[in-house]
Amino acid sequence: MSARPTGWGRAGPVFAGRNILPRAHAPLRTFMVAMTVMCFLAAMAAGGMFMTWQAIDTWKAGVVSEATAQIMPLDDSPEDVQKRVDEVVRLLRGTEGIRRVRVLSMEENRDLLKPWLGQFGLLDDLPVPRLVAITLDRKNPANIEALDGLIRVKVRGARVDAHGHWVLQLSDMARTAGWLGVAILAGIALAAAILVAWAARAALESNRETIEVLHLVGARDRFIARQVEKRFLRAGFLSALAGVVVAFLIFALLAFVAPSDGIREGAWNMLFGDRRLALRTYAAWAVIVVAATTISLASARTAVIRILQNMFRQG
Amino acid sequence: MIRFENVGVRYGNGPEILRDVSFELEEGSFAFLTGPSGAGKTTLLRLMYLGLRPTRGLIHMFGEDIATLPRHRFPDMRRRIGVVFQDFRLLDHLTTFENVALPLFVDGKRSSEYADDVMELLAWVGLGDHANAYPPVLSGGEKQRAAIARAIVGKPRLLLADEPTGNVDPALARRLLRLFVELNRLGTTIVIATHDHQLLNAAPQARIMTIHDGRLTMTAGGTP
Repeated sequence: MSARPTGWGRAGPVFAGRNILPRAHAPLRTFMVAMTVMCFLAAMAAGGMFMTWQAIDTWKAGVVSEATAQIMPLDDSPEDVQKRVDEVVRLLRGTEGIRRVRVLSMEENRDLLKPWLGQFGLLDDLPVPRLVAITLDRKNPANIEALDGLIRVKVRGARVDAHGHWVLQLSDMARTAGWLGVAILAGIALAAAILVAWAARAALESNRETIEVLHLVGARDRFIARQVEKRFLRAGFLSALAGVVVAFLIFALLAFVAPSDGIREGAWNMLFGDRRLALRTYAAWAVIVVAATTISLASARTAVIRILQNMFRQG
Repeated sequence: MIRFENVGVRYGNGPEILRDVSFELEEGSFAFLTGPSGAGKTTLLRLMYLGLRPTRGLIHMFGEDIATLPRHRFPDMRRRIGVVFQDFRLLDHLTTFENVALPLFVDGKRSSEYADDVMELLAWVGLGDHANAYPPVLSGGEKQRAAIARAIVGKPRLLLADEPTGNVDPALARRLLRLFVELNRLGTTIVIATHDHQLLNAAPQARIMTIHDGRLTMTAGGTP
């Protein structure tokens, strides 16, 4: 008996725990790079979309929780107007679901109207209403319609406006922006899926020689498919994970060092701060990894079956 | 063991590469397949190792009609056939040992079952010291011997070799021929495609299958 070659383990000299396909060759590396980049883009798009939605939600919540009481100057004296303002404030403060009430000074009123009416004394001649800014309790907001009815009845020339039309328009705009984000994500996901599938097939085509030899020495289709699947499962999963981890690191960097407060806060909330949002983000990233791995696996499987079926073909 | 009846092969819409090929090889026979380059030797070997489906005609291997053989039984059929390819078809990412052991590995055997046999075979073909070497560092002759070792490691009933002495010196060619003759004595049917006339002369008892213009003629011969 001849001496065994050096480097053999106890488990056996060959193939132990090894895949029979080449571990790393140029097309497989190209596939892995493509997979990493596409998963990175998809993860960035998903994270960006969640951040946008969160910003829209915060913005909408801010607008929705604001209302304004107007007290029109009727034919009474400034003192009487002030009495009506005080009455409105008293009623508002006695209403549940209102967190803060603030009377805007005449100066503030003028500042608000300046962009439209200028600053040449016209404002002094116009009957400018007094305004009271109302901040609603977000968790338990007051019923604005009922409050408006009450104020109208109790205080002459007063009413409460919840900016309904304005909020509706904002809401429509925000929803459009949100769905635009989804569309962009879907586009990137589709492009990623196509590229990953193509790269997987190209990588497998380069293994055709190995597959043919395995086939000709009597390997069963199932055996060959399993070898291919194992290789692509590992390569696909690791590449997709790498792409998502890089996206995570970039968002984490933004959470600490982004120059804009909004982006810093948004990234922080998305990754660590807002539990629900963070869970949603991590779940989306997990889906990206699983989906990309599945696509690469399915593409490789389809390609290997096609190669095997062509092995014994008519001349 | 092998029976061809009016077999024809055409690639796409091109001319017929093989025309009305009919022959029969009994179990344990030894045959040379010869003819000029491009005559169809490799195509005929491909038909025999189930790498190609004929355009027409019938092929019986080991008593089975290939046309009606279900796909899942092909691997079993192939394991009875050892093939030495003209271009060796060794896998560059596997060691010589692994390349030779490949048919046993895909058959589900454990390495502990075949390690000694494979080493013995490698030593027999003069590659005992190259077990851990990868094909790119082997010479043409060494690759040839590794390919032969891989073809015979599973003790096939039929050995097909395409120009097995094309890359070796005359002395080694004679040694390889002795190896084939020895295998044949042990019961393996041998078909060697070659246009090396010295090889043909070295085994005068072998049957000669000659292909010319896609047609096969066969001279009588006996088992050596």
